[in-house]
Amino acid sequence: MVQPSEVIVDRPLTTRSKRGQLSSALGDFGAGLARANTWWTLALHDVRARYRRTVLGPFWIVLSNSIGLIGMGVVWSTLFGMNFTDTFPYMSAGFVLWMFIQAIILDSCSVFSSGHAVAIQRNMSIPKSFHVLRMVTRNGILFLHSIIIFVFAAWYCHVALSPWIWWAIPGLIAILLNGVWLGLFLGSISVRFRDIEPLVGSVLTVLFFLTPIVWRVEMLADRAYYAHVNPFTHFIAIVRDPLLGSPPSLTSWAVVGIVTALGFALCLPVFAKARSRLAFWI
Amino acid sequence: MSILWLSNVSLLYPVLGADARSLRAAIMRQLGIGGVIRQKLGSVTQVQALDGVSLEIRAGERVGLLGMNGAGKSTLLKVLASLYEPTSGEVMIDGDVTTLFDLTLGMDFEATGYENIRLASLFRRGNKRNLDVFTERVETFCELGEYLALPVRAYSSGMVMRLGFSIATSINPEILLIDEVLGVGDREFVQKAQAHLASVMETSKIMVLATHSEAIVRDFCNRVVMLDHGKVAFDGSVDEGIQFYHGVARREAAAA
Repeated sequence: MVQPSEVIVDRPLTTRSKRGQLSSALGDFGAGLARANTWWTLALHDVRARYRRTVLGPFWIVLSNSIGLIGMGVVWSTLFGMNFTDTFPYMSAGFVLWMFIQAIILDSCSVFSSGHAVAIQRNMSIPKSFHVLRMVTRNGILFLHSIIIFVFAAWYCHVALSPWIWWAIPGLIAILLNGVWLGLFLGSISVRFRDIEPLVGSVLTVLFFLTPIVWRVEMLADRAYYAHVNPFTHFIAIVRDPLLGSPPSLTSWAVVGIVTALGFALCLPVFAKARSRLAFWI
Repeated sequence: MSILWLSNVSLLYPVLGADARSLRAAIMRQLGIGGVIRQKLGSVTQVQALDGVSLEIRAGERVGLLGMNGAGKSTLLKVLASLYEPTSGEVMIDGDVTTLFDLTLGMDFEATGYENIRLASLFRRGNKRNLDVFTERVETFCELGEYLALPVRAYSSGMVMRLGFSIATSINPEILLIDEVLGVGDREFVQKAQAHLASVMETSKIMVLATHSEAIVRDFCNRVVMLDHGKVAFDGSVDEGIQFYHGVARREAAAA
């Protein structure tokens, strides 16, 4: 016998005070960070699960991407009359970094609504930020596989090692850090508005062409301005420049710093508002 | 000291239709274009799932939660498990909570049974030494044998239930919350589960069990709480509770 509860229509959502929400969100984040052991293990588990029943395992990313890259490297250097040994390492680094950034953004959209995250949220009281930290860590681990493509390209094309290469590490950490606010932000709004995920997917496709990944900013000549206002240019530059032996640009780091700060400032109120309602939306 | 304490807890459950979830609808609502009737932004259909519930459950109590479908039993359990935050009122939960709510049980269906046992232990902050004991207990109790090495998605729902039940009850939970899942297993397993549950309940301090089965309440509970339209309609002894439940069920049937 089904007993209909009282249905209240058109009543504004009753929410707790803004300050209360914000402190709960920060508490959630702290509790999420404290479970490092759990999200680290689950991230490793995800990586293993992804390649179960395959022979090459995680090196499938390496193989499939390198085939595409070698093809593009040959075509591109011929089309633009460039030196293959100059172009190939540049493209590989850019492409691998783009795949990394793209995966973080796409996974951010489904961070609370993917199968296992839903199962966890319906059965266990685990901090919401846990899911984001797991997703970011997983992508970090996958990146460590795909970077092998660049190592191979650098070896094949004799890229000189320079001490600047160490700057790639803070660059990668900056990308991961941005993954945290992206996950909290995109994750929260995508659960509420189901259009966000396909929207983000199509924007990313366009961004691949608009960002200097396989082409160079200098090729734009007097239109280089357009590449510089694109934050993705800078996120790629802070890692790629050191990998190729040049010092990282101060401008790029400044842009990354500003985007990171703005991102966290943007994600906090959104996550704070959505956090307690995620359980109803999933 | 384990305790569950609710004071005047109300919960409005937002129901998002396809319309409310779409970004276009949200923008349209605000702009009022395309002949869409402008509504007050942020207004969503809501269901009053809990209405001023106050409860205090102390160590040693095994509460049978009764009520018609839609009376708020599952919602109340989810509030007790901290999965839902109430819209108003206060909640205090002291003790480790283990839930047995649905067949997903927080498991990763792509992972094997053994992996899920390991993950479950991890989520409950188990350490390496505990894990071996824990795995062994789950193994012997669920009797899934070699299936434990297969991904859970290959299991039948009865097998998933066996694994989930074994995981949930092999950790000596302080507070155990159960939402009628016992019905899925085959009869032999249900009998075994009930015997096992009886022993788990000796060690767990608090249990709250939502069910429609009078027999289960009589076998396992020492207190009955009955919900009606999200309110506590009865709170007291098992015998009186079951009588009250029958009374309400008869009136509902007569009214229908």
